[in-house]
Amino acid sequence: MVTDRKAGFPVAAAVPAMRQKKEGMWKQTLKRLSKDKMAMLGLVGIVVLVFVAIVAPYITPYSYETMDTLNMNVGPSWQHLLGTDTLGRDYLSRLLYGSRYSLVLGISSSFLAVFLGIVIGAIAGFFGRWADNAIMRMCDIIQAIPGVMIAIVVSLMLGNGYWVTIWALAIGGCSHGIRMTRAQVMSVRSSEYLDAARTVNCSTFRIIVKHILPNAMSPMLLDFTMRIANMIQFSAGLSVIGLGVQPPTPEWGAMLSAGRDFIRSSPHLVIFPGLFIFAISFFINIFGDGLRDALDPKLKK
Amino acid sequence: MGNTDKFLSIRNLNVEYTSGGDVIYAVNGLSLDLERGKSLGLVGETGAGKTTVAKAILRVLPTPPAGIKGGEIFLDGEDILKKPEDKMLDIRGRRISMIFQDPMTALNPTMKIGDQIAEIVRLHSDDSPHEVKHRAMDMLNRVGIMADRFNDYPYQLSGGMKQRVIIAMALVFRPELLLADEPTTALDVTIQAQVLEIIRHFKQKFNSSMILITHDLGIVAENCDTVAVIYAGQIVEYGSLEDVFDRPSHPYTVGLFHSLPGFAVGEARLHPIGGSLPDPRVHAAGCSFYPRCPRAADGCAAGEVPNRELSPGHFCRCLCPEV
Repeated sequence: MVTDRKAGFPVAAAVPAMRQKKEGMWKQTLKRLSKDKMAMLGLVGIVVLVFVAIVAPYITPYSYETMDTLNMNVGPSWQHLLGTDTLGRDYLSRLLYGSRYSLVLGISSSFLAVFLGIVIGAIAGFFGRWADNAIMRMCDIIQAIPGVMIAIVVSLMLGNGYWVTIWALAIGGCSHGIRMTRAQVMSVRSSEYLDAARTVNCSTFRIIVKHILPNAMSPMLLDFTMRIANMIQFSAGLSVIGLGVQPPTPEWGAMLSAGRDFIRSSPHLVIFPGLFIFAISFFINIFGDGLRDALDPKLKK
Repeated sequence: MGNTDKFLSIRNLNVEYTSGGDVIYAVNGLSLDLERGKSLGLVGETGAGKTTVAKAILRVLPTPPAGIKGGEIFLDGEDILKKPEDKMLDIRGRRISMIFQDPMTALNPTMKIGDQIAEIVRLHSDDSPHEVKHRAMDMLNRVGIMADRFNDYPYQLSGGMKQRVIIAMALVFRPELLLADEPTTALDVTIQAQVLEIIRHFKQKFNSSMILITHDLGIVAENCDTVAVIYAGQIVEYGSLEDVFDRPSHPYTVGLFHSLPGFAVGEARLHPIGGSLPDPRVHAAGCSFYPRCPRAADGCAAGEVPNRELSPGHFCRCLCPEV
C-alpha cells in the first residue's frame, strides 16, 4: 500500500472504498448475510431439508405406502429406524417423503398469502377512497376472526385436500399482507418520481408495477420467509380437527395429528413429526431473522 | 397579452384544490404567453402556485384533490386542456417535458438510471431494445455522464449527477417546451452553474422554449428573456427581463428586489416583505397583495384590479404602480 509521507496515512485506501460503493444492494445484503453464523446455520438446515425432499425416493428405505403387517406400531429399531405407524408403514420413509408435502405446502400457501396481500394491498393503497375503504373493512372482518377459523371455514366450503388446504391457509393469512402493502404503497405514493413518471405519460398499471411495488416490497419478502413455518404449523392444527391434508398423504402435520391417539402407547408417532416441524420452523426463523438484519442493518443496533 | 398565435399561451387559468371541505384557490385567472425559443422566468414565493401551473400544463395534477376549474392552455394554437387523455402521449415527455426540483426524490431508487431514461424512449417510440439502450446511453453521454454508469442505481450518484440524469430524461425527445421546476434549488452553487449551463446548451441546440420556475432572481437574470412574477396564483407583473429588473413596478416585485441581501457598508439587516401569503381558502375581492402592500390605497381592497400595460409588453396588476 502506498503511503503518503506527509499525510502519514495510506492513500490507496480510498480507492477500494470507491469501488465497494458500486456493489448493488443485493450483493451487499448477501455479504452481510454470509457473515451471520445463525442465518447460515438456518440456510444449511433449509438446504438439507429441501435436498431431502428432492431425493426422497432414492434415500428412503421403504415406500411410504408399503405396510409391514408384522411390525405395526412399533418403536425405533434397526429394521425401522424411526419405527412404524399404526398400519405398519415405515415412519422414516413417511417423514422424508413428508418433507415434500410440508415444504411445498408451507412455501406455496405463504407465497399465495403474500401475493394476495400485494395485489389487493396495492389496489387499496394506490386508488384509495372507496376501494381502500371497502378492502380495509373486509380486512377488519377477516382480522376479527382468528386465522385458523377462516381456514376452517374455507376448508369446510371447498372440501378437504392438499391444494384446498393451501388456499385455506393463504386466505386466512392474507389480511396482514394487505395492510402492510397498503401502508407501504401509501408512503411511496406521494414520491416525486411518480410525478415524474406521470409527466412522461406512464400508464397507471406501469406506475404501480414498475415504480411503486419495487419500492414497497421488501417487508413482504421478509413476511414471506417468516410465514412458511407458521403455515406448516397451522396445517398441523387443521389436521387435528380432521380438516386439511388427509391421509395417506404423508404430510408432517397430518402425521402428527394422526399419531395423537397413540401418544401414550407409541409416543414416537408424535415426537418425530413434531421434531421435523420444529426443525423446519427453527431453521426458517433464524434464517429470516438474519435476512431482516441483512436487509436493514440499522435494525440490529 | 392579446392574441393566441404565440407558441404557448395560458388564458385565465383557474386551479382549485379541495381538502376536507375547504376549497383552496391555488391559481386564480392566470394568463401568460411564451414565444418559441424564448425563456420565461416564473418567480414567486413558496405556495404562490408556480408548480401547480407547470403541472396543469402537462395535465398531471392529482385529481382529486386538484381540479382545473377553467381557462385555456394553447400550445401552437391547440387547447391542451380540451385534448382527450389518449392524445396526451404526444405531449407528455415528448413535446413538453419537466425537470423536477429535488434530484434526490425525482428518480426511482430501485431502477437503474439507464433504465429510467430507456423507459421514456420505450414509451414513446417503437425502437428495438438495442436502439433504446443505445439512445439512453447517448443521452447519458450528452449530459456528461460516462455510459458505463448505465447500470448504476441513483444512490450511487452524487446530487449533481442525479440532476443531470433527470435533465437527460427530460431532453431525450428534444421537447419544444421545457418546464424546469426549480431545477437548482437542491444543489450547491457550483453544481447549480453546471446544471444551468447544460440546460442552456440544450435549449439553444433544440430551439426549445422554457418556463423556468424559481425564486432565485439571479438565475432569472441569467437565463430568461421574459419574467412573470406570480403572487397568490396571479401574475402581478409581466414583462421583458429589462422591464421587470430595471423598472420593477408592482410593489411586490419592488419588495422582492429590496429583500435581496445588499453588500453596501452598513447594511446590517435584510429587508423582508412583511407578512405572509393570504389565506388561499379565502377568495377575497380586490388586490391579493393589499394587506402587505406599503403603497396600499383606499381603492385597492374594493374591486378587481385591472391588468395595466405600462409600456408595450410590460404589464402590472396594480392601481398605483411605482414607475
